[in-house]
Amino acid sequence: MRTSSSWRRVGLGLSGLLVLAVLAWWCRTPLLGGLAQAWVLDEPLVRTDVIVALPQVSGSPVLEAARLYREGLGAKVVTVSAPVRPTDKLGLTTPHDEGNRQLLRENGVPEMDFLILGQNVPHAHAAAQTVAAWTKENGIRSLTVVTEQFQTRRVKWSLDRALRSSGVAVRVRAVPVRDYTLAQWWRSEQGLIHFENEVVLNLFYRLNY
Amino acid sequence: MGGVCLSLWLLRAPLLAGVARVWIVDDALAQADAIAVLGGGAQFRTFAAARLYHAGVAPRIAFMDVGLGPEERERGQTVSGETRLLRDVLLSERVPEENIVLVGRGETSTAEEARALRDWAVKSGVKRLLIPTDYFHTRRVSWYFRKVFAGTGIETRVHAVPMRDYTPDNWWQDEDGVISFQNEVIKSALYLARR
Repeated sequence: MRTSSSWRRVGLGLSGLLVLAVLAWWCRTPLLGGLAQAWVLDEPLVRTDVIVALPQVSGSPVLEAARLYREGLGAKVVTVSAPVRPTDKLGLTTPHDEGNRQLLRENGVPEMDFLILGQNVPHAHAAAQTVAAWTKENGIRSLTVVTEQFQTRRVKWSLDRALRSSGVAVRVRAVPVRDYTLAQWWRSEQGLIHFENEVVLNLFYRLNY
Repeated sequence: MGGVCLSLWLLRAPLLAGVARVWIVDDALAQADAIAVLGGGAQFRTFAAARLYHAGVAPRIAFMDVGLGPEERERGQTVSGETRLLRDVLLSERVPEENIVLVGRGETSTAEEARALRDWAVKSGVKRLLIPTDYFHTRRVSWYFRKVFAGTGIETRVHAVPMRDYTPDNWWQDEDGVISFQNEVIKSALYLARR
């Protein structure tokens, strides 16, 4: 049976939670924006041996990789072969690999400085393994990995694990997604889905890999 | 408590597979008046629809006029690439053009598609509509279509289309499986909340 002092403690605790909830609601804009900023990894740009483009939802990382190449921030651009879709096999859509090749060519990356690694690589984890294997085989010492902002944390984690004790420096460059900003991601359906999915995938990766 | 957790962990495979099988709706295939291809399904749903058509399940396929993306709107397009792709896949899979019908006006969600298909089905005299869709999408589609079609006398049936990378028995081991299932749980909760 609770004493009056323990009920008071419960009451105080609940009141405290209520105050916190009201404060959180009132400050939701800076809190949610801050959460996204804390999640996304975006390291300062320096020249690295290779620029790796790992797109997830758009061609923006490939365009950004081309821009970094043109600015002399990497000697080569590599990306990872995407799975061939059923509509690609029918000739109704351009396979992602060919689309990326075209994008890079049109944006100033000559064929000799561009490589597609692997075949039908399904996910970021497999992409990290593919990039890591090629990096080790070719004596690469530093990478700049370009990917969509919410994916940066998972990509960095995957590559750091795959390149563990190899001494290869991995830097991540976050590319914004057109449909939303980090300051207002929760106002967009795409922003909500992308962020929430990345939280789940990060947990999935830590549990499985 | 520890024993319960341990048991759950040891039995996680059959439990998770069981959860998927309870969630997934796969109505018995029966002769229908039309097969509906929802947007977002060019890679799987259209092919499934074509297979069902060729198996004689229905004499025509209704495919959605999917809404324009932001870049398509900026370019001044009037028909989305997704809509064109749905049609092109059906034609490539040898479904005659006269048996393909475009439905809707720039639909952007399952809810809008359900309403557009209802309006078309009522005008076209459809009595039974078959909707092939991804495993975890089936529950929301089944529930929402029944709700929207209630009172029309039109029966809707959902057919679960096998996915390339996972099955109901191993979905939790695949990224796409995990994301698809949890996205559908969230969207279904939102649909229920907006009811």
